[in-house]
Order: sequence, then C-alpha cells, then structure tokens
Amino acid sequence: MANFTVTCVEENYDTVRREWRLHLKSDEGAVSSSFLLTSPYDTNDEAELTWYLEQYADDPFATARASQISSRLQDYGQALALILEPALINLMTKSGSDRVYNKIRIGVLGNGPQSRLQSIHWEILEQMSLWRPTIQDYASQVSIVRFVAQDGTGVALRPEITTRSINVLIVSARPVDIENDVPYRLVSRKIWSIVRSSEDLTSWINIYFARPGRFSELEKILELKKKHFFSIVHFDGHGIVRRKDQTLVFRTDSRYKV
Amino acid sequence: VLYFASEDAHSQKSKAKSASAIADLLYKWGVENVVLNACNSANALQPPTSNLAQTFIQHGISRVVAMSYAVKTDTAAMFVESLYHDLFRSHASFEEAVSKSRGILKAQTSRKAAYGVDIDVKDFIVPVLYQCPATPPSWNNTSPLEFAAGALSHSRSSRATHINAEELEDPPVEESTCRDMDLLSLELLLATSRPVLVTGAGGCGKTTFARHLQEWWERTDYAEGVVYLSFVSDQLRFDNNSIYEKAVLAVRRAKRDLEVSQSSQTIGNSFHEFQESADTLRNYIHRSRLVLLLDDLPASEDGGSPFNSCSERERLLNFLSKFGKEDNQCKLVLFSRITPDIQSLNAIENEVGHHAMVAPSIEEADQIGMYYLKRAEAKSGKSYYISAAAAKDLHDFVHFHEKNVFFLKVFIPVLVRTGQSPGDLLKHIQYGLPRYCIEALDPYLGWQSKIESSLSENQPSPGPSAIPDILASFNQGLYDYGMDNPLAYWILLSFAPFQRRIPQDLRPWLFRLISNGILQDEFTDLFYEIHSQSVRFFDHQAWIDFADQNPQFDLTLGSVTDFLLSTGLIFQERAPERSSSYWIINPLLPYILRYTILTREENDGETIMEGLTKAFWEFMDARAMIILEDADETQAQLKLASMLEQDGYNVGNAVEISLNDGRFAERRIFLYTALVCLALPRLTISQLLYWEKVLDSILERYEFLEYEVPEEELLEYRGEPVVKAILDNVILLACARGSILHGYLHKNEDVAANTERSLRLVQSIAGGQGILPSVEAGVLMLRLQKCITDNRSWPERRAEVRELLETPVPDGLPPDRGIMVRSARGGLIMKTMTDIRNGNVADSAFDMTALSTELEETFSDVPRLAVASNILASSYRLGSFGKSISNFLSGPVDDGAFSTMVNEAHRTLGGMPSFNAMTSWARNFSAERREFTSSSESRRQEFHLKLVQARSQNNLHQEYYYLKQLFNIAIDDSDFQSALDRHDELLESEANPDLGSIVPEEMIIEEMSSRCLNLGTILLIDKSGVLTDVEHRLDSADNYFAQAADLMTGLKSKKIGEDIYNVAFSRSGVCFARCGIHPCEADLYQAQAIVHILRAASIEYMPEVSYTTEITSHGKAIKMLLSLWVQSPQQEILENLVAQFVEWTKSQVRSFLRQLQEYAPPIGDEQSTDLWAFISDEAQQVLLALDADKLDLGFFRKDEEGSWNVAVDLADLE
Repeated sequence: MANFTVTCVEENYDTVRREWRLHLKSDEGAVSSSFLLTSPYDTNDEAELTWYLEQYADDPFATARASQISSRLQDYGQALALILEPALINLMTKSGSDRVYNKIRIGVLGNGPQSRLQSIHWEILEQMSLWRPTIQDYASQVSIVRFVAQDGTGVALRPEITTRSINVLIVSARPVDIENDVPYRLVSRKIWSIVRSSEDLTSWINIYFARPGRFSELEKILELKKKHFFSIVHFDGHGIVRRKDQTLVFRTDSRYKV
Repeated sequence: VLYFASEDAHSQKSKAKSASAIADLLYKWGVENVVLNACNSANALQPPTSNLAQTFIQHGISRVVAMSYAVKTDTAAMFVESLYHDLFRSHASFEEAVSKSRGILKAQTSRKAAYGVDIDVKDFIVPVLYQCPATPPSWNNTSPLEFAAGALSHSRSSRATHINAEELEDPPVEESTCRDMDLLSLELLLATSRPVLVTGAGGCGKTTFARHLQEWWERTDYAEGVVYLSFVSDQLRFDNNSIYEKAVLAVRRAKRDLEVSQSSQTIGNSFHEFQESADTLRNYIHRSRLVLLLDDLPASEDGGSPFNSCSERERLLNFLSKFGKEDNQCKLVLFSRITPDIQSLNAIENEVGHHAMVAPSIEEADQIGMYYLKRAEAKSGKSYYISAAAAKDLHDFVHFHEKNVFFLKVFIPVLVRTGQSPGDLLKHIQYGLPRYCIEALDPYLGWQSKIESSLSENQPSPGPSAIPDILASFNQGLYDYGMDNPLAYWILLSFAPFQRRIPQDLRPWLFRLISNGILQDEFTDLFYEIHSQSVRFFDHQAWIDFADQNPQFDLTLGSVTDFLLSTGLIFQERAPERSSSYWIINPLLPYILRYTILTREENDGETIMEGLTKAFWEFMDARAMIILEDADETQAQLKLASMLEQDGYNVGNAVEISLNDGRFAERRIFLYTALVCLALPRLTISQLLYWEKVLDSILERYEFLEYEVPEEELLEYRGEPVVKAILDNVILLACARGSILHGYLHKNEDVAANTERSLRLVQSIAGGQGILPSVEAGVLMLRLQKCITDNRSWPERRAEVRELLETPVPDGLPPDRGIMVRSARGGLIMKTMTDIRNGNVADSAFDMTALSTELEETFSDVPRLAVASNILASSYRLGSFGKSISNFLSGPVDDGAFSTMVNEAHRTLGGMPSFNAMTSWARNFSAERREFTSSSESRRQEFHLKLVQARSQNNLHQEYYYLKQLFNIAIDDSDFQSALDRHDELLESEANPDLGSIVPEEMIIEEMSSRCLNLGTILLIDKSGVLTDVEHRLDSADNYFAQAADLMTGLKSKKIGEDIYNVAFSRSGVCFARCGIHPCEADLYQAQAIVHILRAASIEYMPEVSYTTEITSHGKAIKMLLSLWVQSPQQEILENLVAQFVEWTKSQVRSFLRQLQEYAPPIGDEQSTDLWAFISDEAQQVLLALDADKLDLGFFRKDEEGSWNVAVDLADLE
C-alpha cells in the first residue's frame, strides 16, 4: 500500500494572538485551504509537561500530578488532530476518496529560521487513537518528520554517494567527574552489539569510535577517512538548555537522564 | 555548543564547540546523518537558535535525530537500540526507524525512577527527526544509508534479519559495564601517548579489567593489537628486552595472519631476520599501533614498591621515559597493586599517566561474576546449568555478606579458567583438586610464591617438582582445614545455597571444623547473616523445589533417614552402601549448628562441645533408625551393636525391643514420629507444612494419635515398652505436637480450644519440662491467624485482639519461626487498623479520636513489627499524630504538652520524611503562635494604631476589621468594658450603610450575633473576679445570649449551628446560676436549664446527623420537655409558675420548630407530615396520660375521638 505524504506548511504567525496560519500540501501538489492553529497548551501546561518528562523520575510518587499531565497530553493530541483533520480529509478526498493508505506521513515546515512552529509536539499525532474514525479508515499509521530549510549553500552542494558500505562514527562525550553517570558505553555498546550480532551486518557496517570523545579526536578521525566515509555520526552526551545564551551544554548530573 | 571531552587528560572540564562549527566540520567531510543522543538537543521551546538539530540541518546535514527534552537513560537506550536495529537489520529509512522506535517507547511506558520505583511515562514524543526538505531530490527518497543497504541487500541471504544464539560471533562483552569510568579515564590518559600506570589494591579487579580491555579494544579496533602480559606468569624484566620479546611473540601468536600496515610489515620481516637485536624489537613495538597491557608489576625484593626503591625506580623510570619520549604509536598500560608514594608519583608524573582503581561494589562484583559465567559458557561452548533459582541464590549470596566477593573471586575464576561446570568443580574439590585448578587458584592462595620462596632458599632452581608440592599443599590444606586456610571453608559454605548439596566427604570436616572451635566466629556471623536476612534459602518454595528436584525423596522411612542423615552431624564414614552418592543437604544443618551456638551463648560456662554433644545425643537416636532401616535385621543389629560400642551410648535397648517385638514395621512409625518430633523445634512452618502428608499417614494408621483420642488413653501409651525404651517422653510429646500441627494444618474451626487442649497435653505429658518455645509460638501463631480471619464485630474481638497483642513472642525461637509469628502479629495489627479505618469498628460507642488513641496505645508497645506492618502502623500513627497536632493547635497554648507529644511521636515515627515535615511545620506554627499570644498587648497597640490610621484615611472596611480584632483581643483578655466599647463602636460602624456595600449583610449579622455570644460568655464566666451585682450580670448575659439567638435565627451556616448550640448551653448555665441566687425559684430555673440543655443537645446533632435523626431528636426533646413539665412537682405547689412555664415551653417548642425549618429547608409536604406525625405521636403518649385538657397548649388540640393532634399552622410560626 502506498503512503499518503503531506507537508504542513506555515504561512505566517500572528505574534499577538499566538496563532499560526497553515495549509497542507500533498506530494501530488494539491493544496488545502489554510487554517489556524494555536498551541493547545499555555506556558503553565508546557512547564507541567517538562516536569513530567524530565523531573517525574526524580519525584516518582507524584503519580496524581503525572496522570493529570498525561491525560492533558492526550487532550492536546486530540485538539491538534481535530485542527488538522478537515484539511487532511480534504486532500485525501482530492487524491481519490476510495483509496486506503499504509501510512500518512506528515512533514512540518516552518516559515523561515525563526519560526516557532516546531514548538508544537507534533509527534503526539503518531497515536492513531487520537484521530477520528474517518482518518483511521484511510490509514493505519501516522508518522511525523520535522523540516528545516537549509542555508543556500547546503542544498546545491549535495554530494554523490561514493561508498557502498555504512560507516558509523560514535562520539561518546561522558564526563569523568560525575559519579553515577550514565555508563560511558551504555549506548555505543548497544549499537556495536547490534552490528556484531550478525556476520552479515559486520560485512557491510563498520563501527568506529572517537576515543576519547574529544573534538580533536573527531577532527582527526574525519580527516583520516575519505570524504563521505561516515554515513552516520552518533553523538552520545549530556545536554541541558542554558537560557542565558540559548545554547546547549553537554553535561548534567542526574543519573536518570542522558 | 556541544561539549567534548577535554583535551587535557587531567582536566575534568569539558570542551565546548559551537554547534555550527561541528556542523560545518561534519558537512565538510560529507556526513549526512547525525544522531544526537543528548538531552534537549532539539529543544523547540526555547528560541530556535538553541535547537541543535535545526542548526545542524541549516548547516547542511540532511537528517538529525535528536531529543526535544531531557531524556531518561532507559528511554534513550531503548530508543537507540530500536533505531539502529531498524536501520541496520530491517533496512528502514530514518523516518521509518524513528517512527517505529517511538512506537516502541509508546508501547513500553515503564521507566526507572528514583527510589527504585518504576513509573509510566509517555515520553515517546521526546525523540524527534529533523530533515532537510530538499534532501535530494524529494524528502522521502532513499537516504545514502538506505542506498547502501539497498545495494547490499540483494547479496544478503534471508538470515540477515534473523539471528539466533549460535550465530553470535562475540561473547557478551557488554555485560561487564561497571568499569566504564575506568575505561574512559584510561582512554583519556592514553590520548597523550604516555604510558599509564593503573594501581589498585590486591583483588580489586585489575587483571579482570586488563583482560576486558584487551577484549574490548581488540574487537572495536582501538589498536591493531592488544597484548596482555603478566610480569609474574610471563616472567618479564625491565633490565632486558623481555617485554619486547614477549610482546612480539604474543602478537605473532595471536595474529599469525595479522595484516599490519606496510611499514610495520617491513619491520615485521626484519624482526625475523634480527631476532636478537633489542633495538629492532623495540622499534617494531614502537611503530606498531599496539596496546601493551602489562599486569602484575612486581614488588622489589625487599617487599617495597618498585617506585619507592631507588634502583628499581631507576630502572622502571628509565624504561618508561624511554617509552614515553620516543615517538611511538604503541600505547602502554601497567597494572600494579602498589601505589607509589607521593614523592615517586611526583617524580614520574611527567612520564606516566596515573589512574587509581577501586574495588567494585557488591552489585558490580555480582555483575562481574555473572558475566564470567556467561563468558565461560561462550568460550567452552557448553552451558553451565545455573537455574534461575540458583542464579538468584548466587545473587543473594553475594549480597548478604561482603566477604563473599571472595567467593566470586575464587569460585568463578576457577570455573572460567578450567572450563568446568560447577558440578565438576564440586567433584574435584571432593576428591582433591587437579593441578590446573590449583594453578588457577594460586593467585588467591599464593602457594606458588611461597613454594618458590622456599625453593629459592633451599634449592637452586624451581623444577617441575614444585607443582606436585602445590597440589599436595592445596589438598592437604583442604583436608586439614588449617586456621589460615579459609578457602575450603568458603568453598564449602558457598556450595550450600548454590547447589543445595554438599559433598559427603566434606561433612565430617565441617563437623570437625566446628567441634575443634575453628572459625566459630565466622560460623556464628555467617549463620546469623543467613538466617536473619536470607530466610528464603529455606523457605517454603525452596523446600518444594527441593522435593520436586528429588523425586526419590518420597515419604518413606528411608527418605526420613536420608533427611536426617543429610544433616551431616550423623554421618558415618563407614556407612557402606551410600558412600558413593551425595547426601541431600537439608535446611536443618545450619539450624543445628546455630542451635548449638545459641545454647552455648545462653548457658554461661557450657562449652561448644557440650552443646554439640547434646545435639549429637539426639541424633544418635536417629542413627539407631538408620540401622533399623536396613533390610537384614540381624545385620542391622550387629552394626548397631558395633556402633554403640564405639560411641558408648546406650540406646540399643529400644531398638532391640522393637526388633524382637515382631511388629517391626508398625513400630517403625513410632520411631519415625519420634524423629520428626525431634526435628520439630527446628523446623520452619513451611517445612511443617511439608510434613502434612506424613502426619496424615501417621494419623490414619494410628488411632491413638488421632486428635480426638482421650487424654487418658494417650497417657496409657507411656507404659508401652517401646515408648519407654526409646525416649521416655518423646513419643508422647510427638503425639501432642502432632495434634497441634494437625489442628493447624486442617484449619480446625475451633483452633483456640483445641490448641489449649494440646498445650495442656504437652504440659502434662512433657511433665515439668515446660513447653518448647516453638510449640508456644505455634499456638500463638494459630491464634493470631484465627483472629485475623475472625469475622466477628470489633467489640467482640477487641479483648482477644488486645490480649494477643500483649502476648510476647517467645524467646529462643529459630529466626524464621520468630519472623513468622511476628508477621502474623503484624497481620493482625494491620487487619485491626484497616477495620478501624474502614469504619467497621466504629459504632456509636466509639468515636474515631478515641479509637485512634486506643490504637496508638495498643500498638505503642508492640516491639519490632515486621517492616511492612511497621510502615503501615507508622502511617496510621502519623495520621493520629496529625490529628493531635491539629487539636493542640486549636486549643490553648501548652508548650509542655506539645513537646511531650512531639517527643513521643519522634520515638515511634522519627525518620519518616512526612513526619519530619509535619513536626517542623507544627513547631514553627507553635512558635509563631506563642509569640503571637504572648504579645497581645503589642498587638492591641498595633491594631489600635492601624485603626487610627484607617479612620484617618476614611477606610471603612479596614476600620471595621481592626475594630473586630480589637474586640477579639478584649474578649481574649476578658476585658468586658473594652469589649463593650468596641461592640458599640462596631454597631455604629455596622449601622453605616456604606459598610453594607462592602460586607454582606449576613456576615454583619453573624458578626453581631457572635459578639453578643462572646459578651454574654465573659459576663457569665466572670473572669474579672468582681462579685457585685451578680443578678444584673446574669441578666445582661442572658440578654446578650437572647440577642445572639435572635440574630442567629434565620442565618444558616455550620458555624451558626455551633453558635446556637453554645448559646443554648450558655443559657442553661445562666439558669443554673440563677438557681443559686433564687432558691425559691430553683425548680423553674432548673427546668429551664434542662430545656436549654436539651435544646443544645438537639442542636448539637443538627449539622452532623441525618434529617430523620434530627426529627427524632427534636421529637425526643419535645417529649422530654412535656414529661418534665407534666411531672414537675411544682405543678401543684407553684401554680403561678406553671402558667409561665407552659408559656415558655410553648415558645420553646415554636422556636424548635422554627429552628428545624431553618436547618432543613425546605420542608416538603411529606417531610413535614412525618414531622408532625412524629411530634404528635410522642406528645400524645404524654398528653393522653394526663388531664391536659385544661392546658392551653396552643399547638396540640384534642379531636372528637379524644386523640391529641398537632394543630399548628406552619404559617403561624413564621
């Protein structure tokens, strides 16, 4: 069965009303009429969700609070699905109302680098139970991808594929000064084991490690290999949001978080 | 920015690189896909610049998988595993793989959280995929990865997606995770290309770690080769090229077909040519990308550290500095158990990186142990059967005592190095270990070095003859159980829980070990540890498992013999037909040993040998049984005779009699029962359960053992020769115990009565020996159990519950038995508390406060509850404490009482976080309140100031508020005059229509009424001490009360309900006070007082009770009122008062009715009919009995048939 692919495109954002004007565009070129979207969450809800995802594990007895947030999240998803449904059904009918799809693929594309459209928790829509039966009749799955437009240079210079095997570079940047930190190889060993579990995979997938996980090591190993040698670079580290300069710092001290 | 590991190995700070710098670098080298497994790497709630994933895409990366929030470790691990699995094995696109992996998170929402709790979190929304919309040419086209996968997929067979265990190429290296931090440190240190010295205490796991490093680095291509060499076993020296020689040989050996780079190949070839050249060897090593792991860096001859002795240090430093300074690709790691002193460390710090290892924690040791077992399996290709239960045992075993790391260090390595199964090893230990086992064990025993040192003293060179010496030494040591050889002891004990079997040859050693007083302390400690913490080895399930695994263990006499034999204490080396098999180890063994030790401790002066003799005595009888079991009776008799001769114990008569009796088969059962009973005091309840069938069979066959058998008949059996001969009381004791057990097992309805009877029997039969603790405990447990399932109501059960909880748990029980009883107690306590909580217990006679107090008292002295019930009890206590706190805080200030209460609560609740929080809150509150009350004068002044201020600002609301506060202060101080002044001022203020617009009228009236009540109260209570004009005072008080009552009429709130009650009650007080002043009218006032009390009583119920009850109480009040009036002797004597009283009564009744209407509005027709009917009925009873015609009651009229009926129109009452 085919997939039904649409992109949810941001037209503009009303900063006063905090409202996006969006439309859906199918990969066949059909465009839905535009519709409005406001986040179903206010700042407080977002703070609650952050608590739920990040701090609940440190405070596991607050189950009442957690289950409230969890059910609010469900409402959020329903509200979001409800907004998207008319445009989606519209496009699907246009492409043939009797067709049934394997999957609905929704891409989300903000308007420009400063767009805040990605702050919506789109992935919640992957829960089929949120959608009404009409959509569920059309397809059995929904998947979400977030799009970001590249700077001018990037797209044009996209290189050809030169390698026929997959090389994965793992950079584990775990601090040595934090006790009870996530084990250094917790993730890298998993990847390594997947590949090593089968002779067949080892024949065409190679795992490389930047050891220790230093920038110079990364530079060195990239330089050592040819261009396009690495298909995937996996960074395994810590991160917290530093509000002052809105950048990421790869360190934290909770043992329950990466 | 992204943070990388620091470039400086000694700095712990991470190095930041901006996201765009990394993105540019990756783009430059053509990386298309990035996975950012880091918290908040795609945080979209902050400005877009902080979204790393977005930045990466903007800089030309095609796909980025990242985390939109902080992500839990287990979520990340699950996600990443699924992601790569889908990408590599299922050849999914990134989009599919990410979506599928999110699906996994969605389906498995359970995550690990603090305090070992599992929580459910829908965190599947955290991992997100960012993509460039123009990933060539359309966003859903095949990715480079997919391209490669696709290109290769056709060449792959279908088995690519299906992996089974046999295909596993590598043993599960990933199991050993606890050295991750050490690994990281080492990699950081090695990044500087200097040699690294790893130090750690002997036995902390350096060698294990080195072996692990070798495996991991080799397989993940950290170097072209990783060579492990030991200074001891490979005989390395610093002063020649032995290190290089050995290393080169090792590389050759391990990688014969190693394809080294071209340059090294050349050197490799040259190595062949110039093997003797030290420089060539060194060059070869230096130019190869090798890692040399040099283990066991030795101590110098004088026993000091090589770093701390001058010449050694010179040599070592020389070697290291050469190694470090020369431009080489090879990395070197040295392992040593000796930590260099600070001076040496300073001297070498420029040459050598240093990393200190610490011993693994118990958990980690456990992990390592399991890892080695698995690895051993993988290596040898066979499976060492370690059942789940055994693995759990092993796990527990490792946990229960720190010393057992030693067990891991000995047992597991032997398994691994010798490739044996635990069973094989066991056999070897039984018959003496073979050479290779001993060699494997030597690092832990140090025999080789001992022998070597002795050899070096006496003999010129260590020859092969050293090895048999080691063998002899080990086996001798094992047999001798020397004081300095705990190894055998540990192995021996380690097997007990691990295998549940013990080699029979070890048993006499064990016995000797204890009887010779060797390792007594260890045994004592160990058994306490086992039995207080790890009862599960011998719990019910273990017992059932044991029986399942041993089908031959059926219910025969032989099995009982086996059972008793397997205690080890009755083992006879010459028992011929069993010498080749294992005896089954049974749970009694430790009990017997402990029993012995306990006996020793309890009876000062009694030696362990005396205790053992005592225990042995009992089991000598068991040995008599063994002989009896022999098929050839004559042979058995002979054997017995010879044994008796040896032992000097004269128990043979009994056996002889039984043999000659001709009823041998039947007599067996007596002996059998006797043996079971001998074991009874040491059996756990679950083991008793196991014997249920056994006992049943006894009971079936022998009526005299029946429960119902009359006592006399039972006592008759004392005369039985066999009984007499064996052990005077044992058989009868057995009968009694059998009865108890029987009663217990069959859940006899009347357990208590029967157990009492059984107890009586035991006492009479055992004759003055007292009841054994276990029997007493059994009875107590039965009763507790009974009481828990008892469905009678609380008042009926209460006395029994109390009694049971006051009965102490008998001393001297086996620990698990004690735990059983205490748990049953805990159960009863919990049941009782639950009853109380559920309200099953509450009846009108108890209120909850009283019950919780009772509960508190009942359980305050229950010692050492089982943990679970203790927690529950604490929570109830906490609740009750909370209640006391709240009572206390709303009551008068009494610091003494408060601190007593808190201290008391601390005793039982201390340490609970919620309790601590509550206490600290209460303490603060109390302190504040104390300050608050102690400074009423300053408060008065403050309020006064604020009042003046409010007035000057013309702030009516504030003025009203502060006036109220001042009034309250005056009331608190019982200052009537000030209060009255404030009251007047307040009235004035309340009359102001402007206030009405701010404060609701109802609230004003409520305030007024409550003020009147307060004014009346201080007048009545008369705290001023002024005695003048009492009558006036009372009148004014009553006036205020009446005013308050009037004002309250029409108001509805719970507070008003309470106030009305207070008013009614206070007015009764006024009436009583008047009695004293007007003796002649005392009756009237008394009557009035009673009416007020009645009224108060009826009101008191109002807010709480149901509507019907309300009517009832009113009806009852009226009834009593009427009776009082009718029966009053003053009716005749004080004619003039009667009229007054009747009037007053009428008004009271009206007031009641009005009140009733107010409280239960609206009274529907049906309800009012009920009400009137009820009042009518009640009143009629009284009125009909009297000649009430001449009374003008107003609301009751007599109808034509002579019945009294209510004749009040509700409207009249309005």
